Amino acid sequence: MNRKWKIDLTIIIPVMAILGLGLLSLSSALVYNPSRFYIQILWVISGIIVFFIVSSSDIRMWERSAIPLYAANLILLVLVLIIGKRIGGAQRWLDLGFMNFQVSEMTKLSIILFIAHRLNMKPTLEDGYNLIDVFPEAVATLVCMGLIYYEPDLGSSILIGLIALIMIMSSKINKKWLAGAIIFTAVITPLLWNFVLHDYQKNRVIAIATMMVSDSSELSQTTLYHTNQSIIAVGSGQKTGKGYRKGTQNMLRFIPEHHTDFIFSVFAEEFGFAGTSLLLLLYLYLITKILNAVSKVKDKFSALVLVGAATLIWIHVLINVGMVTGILPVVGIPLPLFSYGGSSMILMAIILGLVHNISVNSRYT
Amino acid sequence: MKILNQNQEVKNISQKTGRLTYVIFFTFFLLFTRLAFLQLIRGESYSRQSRSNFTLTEKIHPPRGDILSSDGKLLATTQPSYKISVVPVFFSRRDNINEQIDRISSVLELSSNEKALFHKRLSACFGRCRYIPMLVKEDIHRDRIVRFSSYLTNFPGVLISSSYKRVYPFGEKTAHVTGYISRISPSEIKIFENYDPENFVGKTALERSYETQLHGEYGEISHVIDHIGRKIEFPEDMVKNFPESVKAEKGSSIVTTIKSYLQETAHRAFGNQSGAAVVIEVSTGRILALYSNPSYDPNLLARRRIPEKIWNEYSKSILRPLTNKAIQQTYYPGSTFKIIPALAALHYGIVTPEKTFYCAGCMILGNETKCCWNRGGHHHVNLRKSIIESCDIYYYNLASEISIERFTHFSSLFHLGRNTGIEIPGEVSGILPDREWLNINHPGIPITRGVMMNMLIGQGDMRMTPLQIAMLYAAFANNGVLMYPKIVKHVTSQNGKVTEITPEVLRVLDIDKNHFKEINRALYGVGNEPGGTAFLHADRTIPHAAGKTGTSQRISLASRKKIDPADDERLNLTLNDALFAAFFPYKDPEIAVAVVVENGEHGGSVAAPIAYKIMRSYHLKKRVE
Repeated sequence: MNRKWKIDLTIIIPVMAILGLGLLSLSSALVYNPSRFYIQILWVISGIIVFFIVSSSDIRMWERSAIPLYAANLILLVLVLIIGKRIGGAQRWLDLGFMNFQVSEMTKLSIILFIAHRLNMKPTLEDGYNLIDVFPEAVATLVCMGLIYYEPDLGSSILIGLIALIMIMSSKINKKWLAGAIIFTAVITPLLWNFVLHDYQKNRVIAIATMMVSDSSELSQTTLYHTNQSIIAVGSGQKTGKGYRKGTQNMLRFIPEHHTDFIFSVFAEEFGFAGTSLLLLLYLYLITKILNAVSKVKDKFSALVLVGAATLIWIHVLINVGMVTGILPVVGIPLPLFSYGGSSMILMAIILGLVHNISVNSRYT
Repeated sequence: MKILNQNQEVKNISQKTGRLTYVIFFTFFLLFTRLAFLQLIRGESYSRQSRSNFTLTEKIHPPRGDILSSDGKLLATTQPSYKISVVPVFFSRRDNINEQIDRISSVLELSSNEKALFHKRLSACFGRCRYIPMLVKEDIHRDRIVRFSSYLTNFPGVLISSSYKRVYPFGEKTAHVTGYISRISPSEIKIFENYDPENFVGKTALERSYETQLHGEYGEISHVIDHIGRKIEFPEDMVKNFPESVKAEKGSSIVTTIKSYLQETAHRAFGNQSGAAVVIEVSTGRILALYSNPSYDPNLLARRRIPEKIWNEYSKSILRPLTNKAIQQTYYPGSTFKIIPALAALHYGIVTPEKTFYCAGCMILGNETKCCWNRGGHHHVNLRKSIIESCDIYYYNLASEISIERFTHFSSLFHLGRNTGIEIPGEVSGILPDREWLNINHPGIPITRGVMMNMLIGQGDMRMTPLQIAMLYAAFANNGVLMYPKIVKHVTSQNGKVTEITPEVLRVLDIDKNHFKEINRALYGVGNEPGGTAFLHADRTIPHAAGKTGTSQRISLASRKKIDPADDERLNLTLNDALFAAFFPYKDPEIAVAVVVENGEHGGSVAAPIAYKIMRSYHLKKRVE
């Protein structure tokens, strides 16, 4: 009983700090819409509860539920394509009455558990897995990616692929196969570009690329209005920011989606480089803490879950900050623990709960 | 092959995560670099961009200065009106732009033309333009704006603002003095560089020549706007160094030398006859009236877009209402010119006042016959009679003594063939032929006595504007002192600074004053002695005037015969021009008047009455004052 409530402050402190800064930004972004802010506070509280429940649960239970969870996830992914709720041209949500549940958030968790479990079951040879060995995991991932892609949600689809890829690669892979995989990617990319990507997606990629090499305002005014306004918000924050609730880009609503995917630009505008570096350092600290914990764990499943969790946070931050600052195309990836949204908050609570669970248990056993 | 145990597996993964950490650090480094670039290096620039995002700076157009008559009447002034603009960004970012335009158009009751234009300008608007309010409708009356504004609250990005409307209270009576304003054209923006494309600019007359003084100084007002261009009340601490408003400064007032009542009299006196009248104050050169008939109504033209129908009506009319005939049209001076050869004859000692020539109606010159207008003949004619009865033969007799060089020189003393420098644009100089000019324009034709004869009776190639004729008579009234004509008395800027335009002597002629007096006495006789060409038409109820009639051919008889006799309209345009030039009162002259009635046929009966009406009006008003 005693052991269950041990806590690892090296994880909890940065998480609480990020949550705090996130709520601060949201209170500014939602100044004209306070009811949403209160909803987010409820989500944070629920998240904290979920975190401690997961943290004190039996990790084996999670491993055992990996496959059923994956199956449930697949069903929901199909379901969302059929009866999902459309918001802004994309069908990503299931209407649960009290919330819109974004299924791909659940997929992120389920893929981490699924791959960690599968690879844990699969003994590794001295010179690593052949690709054939991880073929089922690859297929399982690709199925999810495909379904999410069709919502459409390119960002989440790629993100899930990257998590799976890094988890698989962090176990041992035969070098010859690895080289083959790289060549395969080099061939498949142009094919994907030509036959899979929608025009608007290509346009976004092209637009970003164009903007990075030139200052062509024509393109950025029309296609990239969002990114452009976001960059102005971030840049105009300068060293120390315009001050809490004094960000003109935010307060006058020049920033699009300013409480969800673009919350970082609200924060950056009001707190400047001082704020953004602090926030990034918090994320970096959290991610390295999680990765450091890998060396202390006793089993492969836990190690892979940690890798998956760290990767999940890393890729989210990377893509989100990348798109907000205009170096990556605009895809719907939230900033974890920061953006408005229940699905994301609960996912992070579960993921961090697992991390905390593993971390605490590895330390005290 | 060996299978790894759990420890080795974890160790292996741990090694990999070590490498992954480096990758993660590297990607975070990239993010830091990007943020440092945006926030530290480019921060200033993005700050400016964010500022311009929410700052909508509107130029405040200054009210235009007034133009006044010397008797204190407003000839041109501004009245408040309302206009409606939209911030294009609100429209062009939407897909349903057509629907938006339809709705706005129906509320504002735009015509289909206005609507098409609005659509065209909106779709051509990119970049910064999208944040600058675009004018949709102006000259809206107060009552209508109240109705509009109740609808317009539903349209974000629609701005109602007050503006000004130019009004010319005297309308066509002073149109050729004031001119009119209209929207600046692309070529004019090069001249008036700080003007914005919505600006009005003076197009003609004083509105044009005093454009910079009348225009005033732009003001500026900045608003905070949100992302769809709505004006937002904003706490001041949020927007540091927000640009302060600058008040627009009304343009200077121009006080002209024009007497409004003389313009009115001239307008009434001309009726539907085509022509021009100029009144000059003899001692100062100030222009008291400058009227061209038919005139146009500048109130109809002072619009952003002149209605095509009105413009065509004016520009295509054969009576050329847009032409200021007082300074932009030249005429053969006809007999009004005779005072110059008369003066020359006295000055060069060719004749004495008593010297007579015999007028038998016609005279034979080689193989051609030159006739007087009065075929019956004037019999014995001295200088005085030659002017009173306007005998041509008298002047034909002078032709042998007045060479082309003498003629050109002597005429040029009266500033003929040159611009007078009046502050109204578009003045023409008229023609004062010299030997070179004649050789170029009539190659191969020798300058014979016959040519000079025509010249001396004001036909030939001599051409003068009504203003030049008035100047000539003012110079005679002044006994040989020429004044530059001035139409502006002073310019008063808004801060009370007054710039006086002082009278300016053009030339003091070195000619015996007695010669002027001799001729002026004869001019008195024209209207006041039986036999005088204006005797029957003079108004002798006012102090007597001195003047000279003129009837000048527009076109040779030969050319007239070529015109289809049924074409009345064209035939009428070939009739002789009627002229009358005078100064008043004869004793101690105050004003000089020149009247030209195109195709009036007879100076004495057609032009003189108009001039007398003007002089009468001047006299009556002066007596009241």
